[in-house]
Amino acid sequence: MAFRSQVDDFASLYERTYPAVFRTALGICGDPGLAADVTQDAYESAYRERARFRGQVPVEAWLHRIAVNAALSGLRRRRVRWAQPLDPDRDDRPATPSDPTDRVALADALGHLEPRARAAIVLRYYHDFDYATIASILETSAGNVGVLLSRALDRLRIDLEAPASRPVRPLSPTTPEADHGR
Amino acid sequence: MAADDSFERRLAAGLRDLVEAEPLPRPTWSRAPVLTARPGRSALWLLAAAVMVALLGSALLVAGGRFPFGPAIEGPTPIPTASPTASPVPSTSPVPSASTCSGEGSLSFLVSGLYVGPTSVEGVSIDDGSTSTIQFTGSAPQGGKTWFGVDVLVDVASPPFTRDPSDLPVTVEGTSFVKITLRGVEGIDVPLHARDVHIDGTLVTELVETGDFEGVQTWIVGLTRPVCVSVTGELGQPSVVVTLTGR
Repeated sequence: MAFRSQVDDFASLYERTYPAVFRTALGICGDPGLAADVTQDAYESAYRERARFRGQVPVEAWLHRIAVNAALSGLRRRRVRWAQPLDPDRDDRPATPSDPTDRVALADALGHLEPRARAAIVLRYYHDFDYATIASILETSAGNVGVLLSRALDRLRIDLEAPASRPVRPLSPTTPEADHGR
Repeated sequence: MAADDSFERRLAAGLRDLVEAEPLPRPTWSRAPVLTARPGRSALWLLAAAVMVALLGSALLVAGGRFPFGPAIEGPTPIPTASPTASPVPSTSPVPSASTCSGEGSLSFLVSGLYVGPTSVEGVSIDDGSTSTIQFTGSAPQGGKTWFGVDVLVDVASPPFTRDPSDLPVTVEGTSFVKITLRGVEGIDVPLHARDVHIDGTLVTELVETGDFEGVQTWIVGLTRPVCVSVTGELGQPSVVVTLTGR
C-alpha cells in the first residue's frame, strides 16, 4: 500500500507523468495522433479506476501498464502500421550501415518489431525500467521479458547494422563484424 | 543502466531522440482530456445503463417476476452489498446463493457480499458428468486486515474472447461458455493463463483466466452444453463456489 497515496492528487499525477506516458505510447504506436489518443484513453481508465489502485507498485508502473495495454489495443483497432507499410521483399536500404541514433532508420527498424517487443524496447531503453517492472507492465514473467528483449535486439541489430545491400562477407575468424559487432 | 554495450547505448540515445522529437505541450489538469474532451461518455453510459435497468424492471414486473429472456431464476438473496471498506467478519453463517440457467439470451446476475479474503483466488473443477463445481478460494485476512466483499457476476458468453484489459485474443475450448467475473479480489503475481485448468470432463472442458487487473478477475468456462449455474458462498469464509449443471 506504500504507493496508494500517489493517486490521491490525480491532477498533479497527470501533469507529472503525462510526458513519460505519452512518449511510451509514441514509442509503441509510432504515430503522434494515435499516441495522444491512447494516452488519453489510458488516463481516462486510470482516473476511473484510481480507487482500485492498491499501491503495491509505483504509480508509474501502474500507469504504464494501462498505457501499454491501451497502445496495443489502439494499434489493433486502427490497424496502424509504423510509419509506412513494410514490404519484406523490398531492398531499398542504404548501402552504408545505419545507426540506432539515426531517427528515420530507427523508426523503420522498430516497425519490423511486434508491438509487444517494441513496448519492451521502449520500457527498457527509454525508461530504463528493470526486468521485474517491465514484466509487471507487460503481464508476463521477467524471464519472458529477457527473451523478448533479446530477440528484439537481435532483430534491431540486423536491421540497423547489416543493410541488405551490404556485400555478403565470408564467415571467418578474421572478420571482425561477422556477428554484427557483438 | 540498461544499455551496457555500444549498440544498446546508441539505441537508448536514438530512442530518446525519436520519442522526444515530438513537441509535447505541458499538460495541465484543467485541460486534461479526461475532463474536457469526453465529458459525456461516462454520463452516456450511465444513462444507457439506467434506461436498461428501467426497461428490465418493467419487463420483470410484466413477466410476474420471471426473467424475461429465459427460464425462471431465483433472484439473488438480499445480502449486504460488497464494499471495499472495512467489514467485520460476520458471526453467523448463512449461505447466500443465486442461480440461473443459460438460455438462448444473455443472462446475468450479481451476488454481492460474499466475503473472500483479499488474497489469492484459484479455480478447480470436479466434473462428475452432469455437474461441475468450480471453487475460488482465497485465504482469511491476516494480521488484523479487514475482509473485503467480492461481487461475483456470471454471464453467458460467446467467442471471440479477449484478455482484459489488453484485448489480446484468447481461445477457449467448448461449445457453450460462461463468464465468471470476480470484483474486489486481490490479484496474483503470475502470468495470465498460468492457472488455466484444462479438463477432459463431459461438461466442463476448460477454465481459462482472461483477466486479473486491479481487483477484477475474469474467467471463461468452456462447456460441452448449456448449463444452469448457481453461486454460493458462506459469509466469513474465503471461498465462492460456482456450480454448473448440464441442461
